[in-house]
Amino acid sequence: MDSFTESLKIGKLTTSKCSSCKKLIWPPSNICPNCHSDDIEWIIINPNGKLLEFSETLIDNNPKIFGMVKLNENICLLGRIICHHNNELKKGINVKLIKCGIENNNVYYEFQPK
Amino acid sequence: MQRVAVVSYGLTKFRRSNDSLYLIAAESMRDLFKNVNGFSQDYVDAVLVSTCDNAQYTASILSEMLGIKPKIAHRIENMCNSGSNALISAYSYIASGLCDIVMVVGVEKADSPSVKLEWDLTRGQFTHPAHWAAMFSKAHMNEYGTTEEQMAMVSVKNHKNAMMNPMAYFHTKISINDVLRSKPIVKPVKLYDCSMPCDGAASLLLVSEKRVKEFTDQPVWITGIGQKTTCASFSNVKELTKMDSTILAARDAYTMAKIEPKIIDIVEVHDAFTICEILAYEDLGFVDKGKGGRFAESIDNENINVNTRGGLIGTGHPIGATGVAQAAEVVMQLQNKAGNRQIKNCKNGLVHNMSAAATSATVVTMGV
Repeated sequence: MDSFTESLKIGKLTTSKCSSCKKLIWPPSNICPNCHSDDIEWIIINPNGKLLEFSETLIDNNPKIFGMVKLNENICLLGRIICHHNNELKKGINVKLIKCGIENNNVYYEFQPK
Repeated sequence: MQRVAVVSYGLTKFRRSNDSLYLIAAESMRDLFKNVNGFSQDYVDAVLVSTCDNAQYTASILSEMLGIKPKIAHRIENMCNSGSNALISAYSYIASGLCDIVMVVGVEKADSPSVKLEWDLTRGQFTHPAHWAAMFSKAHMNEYGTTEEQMAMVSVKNHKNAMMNPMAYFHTKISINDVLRSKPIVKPVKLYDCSMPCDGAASLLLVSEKRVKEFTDQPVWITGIGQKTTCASFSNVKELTKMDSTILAARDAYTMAKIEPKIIDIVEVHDAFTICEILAYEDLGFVDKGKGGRFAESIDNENINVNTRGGLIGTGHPIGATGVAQAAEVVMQLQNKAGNRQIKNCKNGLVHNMSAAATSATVVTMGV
């Protein structure tokens, strides 16, 4: 898990993959949930995916568009959607991870329509 | 396995206060002792505490505070679902024959660490639960045409019911327009679509069939239990228009109880957000998939009573206490002790509770 955090700190989204059964593990873990092997490798996740659902949060009085994204490797996560024209946004559009990291101890992911 | 009954309950006012976790829990336990004739500390085989607080050794400390020396004392933590898990742990101790008399105590402070879901790194910076509620709401609106007005009706009903519950945090009559005009939190979720973390505690007394007559002539039998954990992380919730864990837990509970959902008179569902109650109508089998919004419109004319104490939205949501307080309401109604909110001819009840974007759920059926 340190590997995930260290990579995220330098802007790379990674996850673990089981070297034994070859399954991709998400959320990342040092133990494979499928075969329980701890023989894992860390891989960089393909940044391309689809927007499954989206909305606008006003929780911290700083409105942000966010959404549920399904990346091409069947990995889902919630991230901020950076979009200059909100009418471009629709369920199912292609998006790409453009930035990720850790700020104030919180992980963040940012996507943009392709 | 021997049958298990809930005999009585103890409740506190749900509030925001400077009172300690222990004092609030002890208040509900003291209330429980008062409510059961002939009951004393010496009878208690086990004390099970449900809380998400960081406090340590809670069950033993509370036992000492109330003068109980139980054989078994420990806590149970499973986020919002903790109280229902504690209830089922108590059931299991008794059904297996290890105990005859178990106290369940649920308690939480408003600043509980479980208010945010910071352990889930798949949520990125969107750790406030209103974000997952917004995803469920939008998906249900898009798929089935559910409206913000229908969601608002859930909040209006639950606030109205809470007006008749002296223990509720809120005693405010609100209109559909009040909900629609309340502060936007995460669109389309507005302030009045949300439950509120608060301080509170609730206790239950569970007794084996062979000892039950010593304490009550109105036992409420636990007839069915279903539990399911599908995952923990929000990213592994594969569909946003249904709660798989609730569907599977309900199926198992109905099978164990040998009942159909249509015979349920009273139900407490986990309405952390208004969309959750609409999903629960569907996933507990009270209405077909996609018709939960319309069910919210007609609920006053349906043969079922939902969240008579005010739900989480009207009563408040002290996380570890919620599942216990939900069960206490069903017991109160089945014992015909609910005062001005009593539903006539209640025979069968159901408690539905869940955690963290419906990644786990519990369904318990009870009958008299």
